[in-house]
Amino acid sequence: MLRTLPLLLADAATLLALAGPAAAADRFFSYDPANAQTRATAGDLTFQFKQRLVWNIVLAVRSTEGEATADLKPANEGVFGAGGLARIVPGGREHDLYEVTSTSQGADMVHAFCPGSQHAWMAIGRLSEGAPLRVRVIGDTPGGGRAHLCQTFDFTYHGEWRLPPGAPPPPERDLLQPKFPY
Amino acid sequence: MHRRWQPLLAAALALALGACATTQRIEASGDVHALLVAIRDDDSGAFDAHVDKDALKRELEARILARTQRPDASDATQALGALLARPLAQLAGDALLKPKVFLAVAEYYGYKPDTPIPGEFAIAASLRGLPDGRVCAARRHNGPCLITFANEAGTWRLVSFDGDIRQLRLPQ
Repeated sequence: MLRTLPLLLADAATLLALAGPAAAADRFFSYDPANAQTRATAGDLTFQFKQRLVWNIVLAVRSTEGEATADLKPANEGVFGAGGLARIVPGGREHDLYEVTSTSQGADMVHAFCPGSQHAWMAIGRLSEGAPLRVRVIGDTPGGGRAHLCQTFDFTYHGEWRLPPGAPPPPERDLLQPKFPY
Repeated sequence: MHRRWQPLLAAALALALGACATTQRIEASGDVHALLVAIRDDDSGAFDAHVDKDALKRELEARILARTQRPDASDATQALGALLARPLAQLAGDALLKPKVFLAVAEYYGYKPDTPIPGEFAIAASLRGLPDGRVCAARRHNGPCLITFANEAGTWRLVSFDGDIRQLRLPQ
């Protein structure tokens, strides 16, 4: 029995490895602003993410109605020092933390969402079909101050944009295309 | 020795200029958003507050002059252009600088009436800082400027329409 265990584990690892790429196609969930402040600052946003078996990895946030994309990368709440995310957003249920990178229009997002900050992070709630979404935007304080909460955005689920089979994700929004991403 | 610092100083200067341009664009995005809302809602008061009509009329006059003073234009056309450019620009400006005319321009660039007004993030990303402190909007990130805004006493106002003037048409 013990001899077969390594074989079983190897089989399971192979299955997981095979399931990974199949489940890793990019998905696009689009959200509408749920209040005036979210509408004026964030507007309609589309989240591009990779779906894993248990969790999602958000890759980018795009303006649904404008040509703007901010790339994200997973971050650790240790970057906020003692107390982490809970110190900045007590009781917050948005635990998936990402840093807004400076590629594409990331710098524009940082300045629009966190005026005065040089770096920003997004704590994103669970991306779930049909469910509303809350996003916390956290910014640094230039000069070495502590990171602080800049925005709390609330969205309602709009829908999923389906890509044609095998099509690569579009590089950016084209306003003349009636639908995003195609 | 100080040669070593030159690339660093140049990089610091580029960063400072970049940050300055970003600040311009973010500052402007709120007023550009307000102008877009005014156009959508056909709100003449808010539209006028975000449009420098005198600057746009001067630009219109310059375009009429440029068109009539071409070397291939007849003497009569050149004379008429020189004589009528200003009154024509005034007349055309009064008729065309209205929210409904710009609604047609917005539609041309992809903003249909049922398209939500973008948030400040998308607007800031579509603006480009210019060396003279103004900002302009382009349809594509690397495309030519279509409309230009300047900070006038704390409000960013439309001062130049860089697109094809034929897009400015009275609604049917």
